[in-house]
Amino acid sequence: MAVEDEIRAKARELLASGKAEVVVGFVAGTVPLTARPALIKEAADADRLVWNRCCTPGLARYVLDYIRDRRKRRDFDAAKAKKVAVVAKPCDARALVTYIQENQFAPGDLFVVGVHCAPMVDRRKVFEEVGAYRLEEARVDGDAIVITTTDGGEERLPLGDYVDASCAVCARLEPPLADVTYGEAVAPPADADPYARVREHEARGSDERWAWLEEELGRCIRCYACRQVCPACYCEECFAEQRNPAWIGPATAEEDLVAFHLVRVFHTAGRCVECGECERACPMNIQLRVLSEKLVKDVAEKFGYVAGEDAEVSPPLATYKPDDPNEDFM
Amino acid sequence: MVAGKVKRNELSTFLEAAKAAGYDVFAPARAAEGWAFVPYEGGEVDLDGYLLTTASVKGFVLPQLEAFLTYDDDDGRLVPTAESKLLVFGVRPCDARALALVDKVYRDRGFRDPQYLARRDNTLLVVWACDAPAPTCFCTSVGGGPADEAGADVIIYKSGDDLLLEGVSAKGEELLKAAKLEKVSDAELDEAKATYAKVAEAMTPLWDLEAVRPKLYENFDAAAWEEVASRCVSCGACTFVCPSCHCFDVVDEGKHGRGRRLRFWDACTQSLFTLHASGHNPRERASQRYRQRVLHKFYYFHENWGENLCVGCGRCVVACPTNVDIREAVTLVIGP
Repeated sequence: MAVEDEIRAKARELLASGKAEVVVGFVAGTVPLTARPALIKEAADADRLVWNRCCTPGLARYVLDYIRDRRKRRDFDAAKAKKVAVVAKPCDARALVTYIQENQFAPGDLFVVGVHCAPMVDRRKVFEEVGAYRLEEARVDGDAIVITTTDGGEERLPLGDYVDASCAVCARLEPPLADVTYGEAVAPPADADPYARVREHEARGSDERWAWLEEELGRCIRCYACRQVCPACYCEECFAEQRNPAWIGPATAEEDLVAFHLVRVFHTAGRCVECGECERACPMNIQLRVLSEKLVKDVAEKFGYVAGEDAEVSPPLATYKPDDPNEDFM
Repeated sequence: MVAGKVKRNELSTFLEAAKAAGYDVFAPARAAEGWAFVPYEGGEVDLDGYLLTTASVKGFVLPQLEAFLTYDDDDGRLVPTAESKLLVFGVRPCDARALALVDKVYRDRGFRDPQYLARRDNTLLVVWACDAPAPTCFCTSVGGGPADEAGADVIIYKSGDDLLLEGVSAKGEELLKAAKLEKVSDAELDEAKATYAKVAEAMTPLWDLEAVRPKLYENFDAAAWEEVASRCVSCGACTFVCPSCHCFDVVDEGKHGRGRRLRFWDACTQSLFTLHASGHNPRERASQRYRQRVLHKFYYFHENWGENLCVGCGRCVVACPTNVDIREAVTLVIGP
């Protein structure tokens, strides 16, 4: 059975049997090469679910928001609560693990429909190549992206050239938390270096690094898309918007943009699950993953820790060990 | 009518003439985020592949952040805006129309915003009519069109190897006169316009706006709002790339009897929008805030100003990280 059919069948079963009250998954989008999050609550709607190479948005935040929301309902009874089911790529599942580590919910609240990942398509790259005004429809067919243009023509692009930058180097193919798992994992090329862009950045001198920050972060329009899609950014009140005290200014002064992104990314240290949604969500195409990946690399090198792999382990920034790398580290 | 023409590969003669007339000229160029208006440095402008800039033209007249007032114990002073004249070339008709709509808010009734008006009066829009709209474009569904003149000062049509430039405001006509371009006949211009009328005809209207408007409001409590906005992550990408969103917030920065007052873009989709000091928010849910956005575009603005606020550029459709689509939202809420 195709993965999509397996997901639909499981969703139908979970909803029809009353085991789950909602299935968070993907449905078809309105823009070519887009799949989008949806909360499916009726078994009859299970067939709306899709699984394809465009399922980039993270779903863990929807699970967290749903669980937070239902707790606020007056009639909510935790003892009788049904499960919240979610279609989870490995990065989604890792985010769910971090939520369990951070006591946001219990594993028993969830039914995780894990999916082995195949690298997703970078929609922006395709739009750029074909021209947004020419791109009528697109679908993935084997190793090709088949484009229908507005003049009715058809073009085939090699899928391998349009793989999302985060997916292209992701070696975490197994959802670390899953009640069932579908699909077959597609491993990245053996020589894929997840830290290639970080190494490039580290090799720059400090002036150059600063110039890079100004260039990239200077484009920010403070829409907070990066923060809102980030599974690690779920503070009820973000430092960026606190006005008493005002840690940073409210808009796009350069120092505020740099402060916002650097502080935000530090808050994700040891918690970033490398989904790449921050960068994908950014309407200004800022290379935000260079910053988050730098912290992923540092946490891996200094603490030997990878986020979201094991719910039983305490994250390094929530624990203290006498042999932690810096003695002044709080 | 004041009009002229240049060869497509000799557009620089017009842009240089604009510089000579005292304008700081901006033109679209490829940029890290897609396309952006950047200072024109001379030479020919390559618009191959250009659809829209990622950020709209709005920022030129309503900057995302500005200090508009300084104050101390004794006095408050408006911060003067720059005196320079600005020409933005390659603006799409949807963007120019959006500014014409925003003009109403800041100019046409009651308070006239001095900073906005100073910048707006100093800005000349050279509109690049659309001969190849994208599937995400829907200007003709919301009262605009690929050669809409609203808000424009000069409008440019392609005609074979020529570009035909027509002045559609006093400012635009004055510039064209000063530019001394080759003459263009009425017949030539009419012929070019006719091809753009065909482009408009080929864009299938999504709805009948007159019918949409009352239905949207009648369906204020429709479950469809929750359905369309259930995936909204409450960022401000849609509003910040929108050419016609014009809400702002204000904050004072200062201490010891002196300071400055900043104004900066606000976004109705973000959770702090209309959050009261008490902690109560009348638009607590993302769906309520998204409804505000859609109704402001398609209903409230029309109540206040007699026009639709959405101009159909499609930027929000493209920018949304979770594919909340305003076209679909309107269609779903009004129902069959």
